[in-house]
Amino acid sequence: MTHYSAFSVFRHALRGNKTWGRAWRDPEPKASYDVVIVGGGGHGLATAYYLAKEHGITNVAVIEKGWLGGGNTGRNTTIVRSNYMMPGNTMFYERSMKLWENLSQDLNYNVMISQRGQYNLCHSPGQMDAARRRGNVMRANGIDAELFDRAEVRRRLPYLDYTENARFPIHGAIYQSRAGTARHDAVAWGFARGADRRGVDILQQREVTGYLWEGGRIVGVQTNRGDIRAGKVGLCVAGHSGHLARMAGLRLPIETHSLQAFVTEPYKPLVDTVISFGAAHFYISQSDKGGLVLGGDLDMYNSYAQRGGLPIVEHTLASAKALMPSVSRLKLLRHWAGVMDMSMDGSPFIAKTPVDGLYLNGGWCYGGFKATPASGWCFAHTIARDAPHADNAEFTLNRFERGYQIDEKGMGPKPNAH
Amino acid sequence: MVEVRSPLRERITPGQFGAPGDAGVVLGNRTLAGLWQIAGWSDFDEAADPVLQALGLTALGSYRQAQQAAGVRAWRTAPDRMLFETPQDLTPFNSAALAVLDLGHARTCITLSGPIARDVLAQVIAVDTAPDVLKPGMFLQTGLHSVAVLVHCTGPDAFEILVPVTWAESVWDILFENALPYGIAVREAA
Amino acid sequence: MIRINCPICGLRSETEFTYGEDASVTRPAMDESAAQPWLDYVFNRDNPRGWHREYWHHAQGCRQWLVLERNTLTHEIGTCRLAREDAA
Repeated sequence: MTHYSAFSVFRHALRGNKTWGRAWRDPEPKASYDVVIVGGGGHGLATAYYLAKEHGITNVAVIEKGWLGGGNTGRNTTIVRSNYMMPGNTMFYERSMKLWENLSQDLNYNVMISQRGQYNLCHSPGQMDAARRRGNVMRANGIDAELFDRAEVRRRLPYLDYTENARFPIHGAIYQSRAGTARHDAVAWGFARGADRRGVDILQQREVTGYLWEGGRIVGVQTNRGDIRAGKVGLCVAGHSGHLARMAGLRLPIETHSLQAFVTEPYKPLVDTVISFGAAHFYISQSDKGGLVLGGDLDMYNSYAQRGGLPIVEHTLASAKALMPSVSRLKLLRHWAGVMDMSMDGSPFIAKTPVDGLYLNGGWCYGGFKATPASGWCFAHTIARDAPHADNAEFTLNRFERGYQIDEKGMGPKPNAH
Repeated sequence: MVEVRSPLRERITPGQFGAPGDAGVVLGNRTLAGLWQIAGWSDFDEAADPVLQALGLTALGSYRQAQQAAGVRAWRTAPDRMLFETPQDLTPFNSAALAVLDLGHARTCITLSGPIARDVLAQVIAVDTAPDVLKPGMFLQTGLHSVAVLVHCTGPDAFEILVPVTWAESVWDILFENALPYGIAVREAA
Repeated sequence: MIRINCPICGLRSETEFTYGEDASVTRPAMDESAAQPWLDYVFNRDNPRGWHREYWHHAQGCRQWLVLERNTLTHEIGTCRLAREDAA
């Protein structure tokens, strides 16, 4: 497989670009593997990559029911940040941020990480206080954070609504300069190529329909194209965690909900950063192709449909217009939805399950994309060592019964409120 | 005596607005004679009976058809809840089985009539307002501009909308905005 | 757009309603002292990819709580009953 470089780009261009090899193989599955990862999205592929790279475990298969990266990895709004406040979250997301910063070099694949900064706007003195607290937690942990007043926000983002009687006046913002965006598809492809180079088999168009058991232990998976044995099985199917867990007799503290996202027609460069609205759940950035990428609230009812309804389209665009009035003149080009694993405290799971041989990576709510590298890294550790790393030690399934919820929003056990 | 002021006092300017010519829509604000809600539990049918008798009504009624008797209008808004427009003070009927609530200060009545009234209403509520569906005497509870309202059809081209006073201006504005292309006549409070 | 057939108000747009929660979980008796039934009620969910029983509140209509059967994959609506009748 070609190592990508300026030299190789030049060399292949001279041959009319007809001599590039496959980025990853399409192998026939073996009868058994040391580890089977269910789910070929960013998290599953990252897990396989780090199993091989960090732990030398290469006898691994990633099984994906559709095409790799076609689930939530291909449907998010590409935001990357590490500004979480609750213990258990803070250092996990910072690990991810640090992995992002070197990911293209590590994978030899351009994931287009763009550290263009992220603003969380504040619309009241109370929100400014909360932002101050969050920023101090970040800085105490060595993570960059700055607090801006209204004048500074206006200087940097002049196109927002600063009118005197604005419905949601901007009081200021908390800003992380190292935050930004990455090309979501490229992350899946980069991890896939990296894992494949190290011997991982990526098996697409193969759906897990059950498990193979020996006594109370899972020793493999049944698929719609045959059985595959495994020493360990790791689930990376956020959106369908409950679906796969049920096959193992488990009920999870997760509900599956729909989240929509939108892209406008391409436009000249305007939004050169990531902006999160503080008065409603809404965020916006601009892709390199020029379209504004926007997203907001869940549709609020359980859904596996991967498409949302018009009421939330209206609600999200109303938020967009409240934040940035000029956006009303743009046409929407595309809209789609993903399936979210909404957990009972808004925080994820990277843990062993009560079932021997089964490991769970899920519950990402709508914040899984930024976690992709650290999720794979920590899950690989958890599977390889049969125990969590310090950075995912709190992401347990049993934290609810122990009273150790990680609830950033403070909303309690209401999945669609997180 | 406390003077009750309409929440729409800063909105009601009598006159003609929007498209010239005959007004397609007449907007107004009627002062309610008094608004009372009674609510109960599983024995609501029995608990509500004394109130019905006092008002000259014989039944709780349907969820679609308003009732009219001398000096009183009644709407059955839920299996165990009723709304009355009446000047009579219903406080004495408050009991362990019946919760009586004076809503006179909490709702205002926007009147909407004219040849285009039904069409304007159709633009702001997601229910069928066709003349063979929403007939005189019928009512419905729905969301108008995200506000919970009660819409009562009082004539072939006439409606009354009971709105929470907090949102009265917002609902007035959206009706006004939608009616401008058809011409609006604003009348003084009835 | 989901349309819900409220037993009181008739067929209405989803915008008049607020989604409640899973209606298939059973609240344990108040004197239940074992932890697992409470954990199952508060935290653990079937989360089916298919037919689901759930609570909706007709917030902008009659304000009654309803139990809906809805398919979470296709959004097809099945039965819709008043919660008080469903409990009986």
